[in-house]
Amino acid sequence: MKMMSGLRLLVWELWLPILIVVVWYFGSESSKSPYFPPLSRIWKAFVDNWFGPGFVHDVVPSLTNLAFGLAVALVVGVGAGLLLAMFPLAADIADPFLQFFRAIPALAVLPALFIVFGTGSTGNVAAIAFGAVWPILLNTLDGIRSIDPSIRLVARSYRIRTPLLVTQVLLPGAMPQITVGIRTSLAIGVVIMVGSEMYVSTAGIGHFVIVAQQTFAIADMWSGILLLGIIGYVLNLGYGVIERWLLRWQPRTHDALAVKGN
Amino acid sequence: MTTLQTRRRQVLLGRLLTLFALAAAWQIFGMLGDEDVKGIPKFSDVAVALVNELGTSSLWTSLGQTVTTTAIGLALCLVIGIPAGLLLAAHPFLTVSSRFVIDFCRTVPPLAIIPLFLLIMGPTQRMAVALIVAVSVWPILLQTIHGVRNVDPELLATARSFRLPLWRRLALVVAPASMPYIFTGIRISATLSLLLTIGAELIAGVPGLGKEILLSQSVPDRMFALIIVAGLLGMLLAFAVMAIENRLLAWHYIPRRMTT
Repeated sequence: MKMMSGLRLLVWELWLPILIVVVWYFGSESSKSPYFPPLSRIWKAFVDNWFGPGFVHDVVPSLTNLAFGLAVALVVGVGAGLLLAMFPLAADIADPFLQFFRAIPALAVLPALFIVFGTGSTGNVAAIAFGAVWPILLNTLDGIRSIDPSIRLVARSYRIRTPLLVTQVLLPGAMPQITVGIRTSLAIGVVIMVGSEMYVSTAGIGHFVIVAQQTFAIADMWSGILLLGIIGYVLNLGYGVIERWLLRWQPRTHDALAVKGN
Repeated sequence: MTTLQTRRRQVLLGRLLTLFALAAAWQIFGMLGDEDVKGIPKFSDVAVALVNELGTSSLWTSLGQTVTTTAIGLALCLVIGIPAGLLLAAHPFLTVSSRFVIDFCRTVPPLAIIPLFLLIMGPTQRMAVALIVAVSVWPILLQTIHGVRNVDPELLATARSFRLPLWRRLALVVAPASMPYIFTGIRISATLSLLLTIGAELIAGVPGLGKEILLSQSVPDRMFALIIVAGLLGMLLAFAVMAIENRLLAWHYIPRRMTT
């Protein structure tokens, strides 16, 4: 892409989203459709629901569950991936089992997980962790395996101790791929956060949205969908910053978004 | 015997042992539970339930519904996503203009729109297909844009200097060069589509495997058996997509392992 002036790029980037919101706002103003209420009413519901007690009741539990679930997935995934990568025979043996667990559509396991962990927030956290652990684990394993063998040979000839080998050679070497895994896990985690709250829960944004739909509180439902959209977007943006920090030692590729044959 | 053969035997033996150990651990874990409390069923009971299920028509019907929904949804994503991606990649203005909208739509948690679609269309297959299209089209669209924008400009210039007509440039230069990117999108979309189908069935009650799982909640043996079937289906889908990719892109890279 040719170099463009910053202002022109900004205009190109923003005219469509602004146009969509404006058209939505004025186009829906006189809307009588029960499913598509005026944007002004949705916005009012949004303010009423999320800038008040609803924030503590629904948004905080959702995000807390997500954070705990992802933390468990990260620790277990990187730990197990590291362990398997150190023992190639074990990794070969485990391969079909890992592929199987990864391939289970995580939502199908929800009922089973809630039986085991109860319907409290432990169940939600377990569901998020179960869905999110596989991409991290498999990417850690693969990332370590694809480190240039000569680097590992050098490390061995220096007789570097295992803890140092892990923190200075293996993890940094695998980091580009681990971050790809975490990005996938983040997306899966948000899906399961919403899904598990819709399926069985007494709090959370997903719970709020499904109850609003069942009680035909359409503007409230839309406000929840909008909030989930914003949360998804902000999480993705925030993770982009973390990712750049984790990979700050790497030369920047020209197009970070393109995932070619990962 | 070569070392390679020894190694293969070790791996095979290890896998069998692991399978056996997992089953045994599950069996013991299941026996620990209180008979009165609804807990994890014993592995043996689940295995019996699985074998019984394989003989019933309800399993195959629901499996068929799930596969059909996923396939229709994914096909529509391809038909919509690839041409739209080609169009948006044609000029920087279109690419930049659509960037924010695509990024936002792509990151909306997919299940968030289930209530809206449920309200409009009810718990039908049509609703699940609409859900898949609304969610799974973005990875394909995005990867198509990236793929086309990353085609080597020299290739395009060469094709142009040979005065190849537009459709031949698309078919002979752009398509092969962007295919690896597009396939990454397809792989993500395929997994996502199955997840959404099961989600729509489980949460909204669309007929299919997910609904059967929901209905068998009070019969844990059957529920666990159905979850295993769902896992096998997911695995089959992943392998199918990978087999097609390796076939079509054999010229591009040595077959990779499945990771993301």
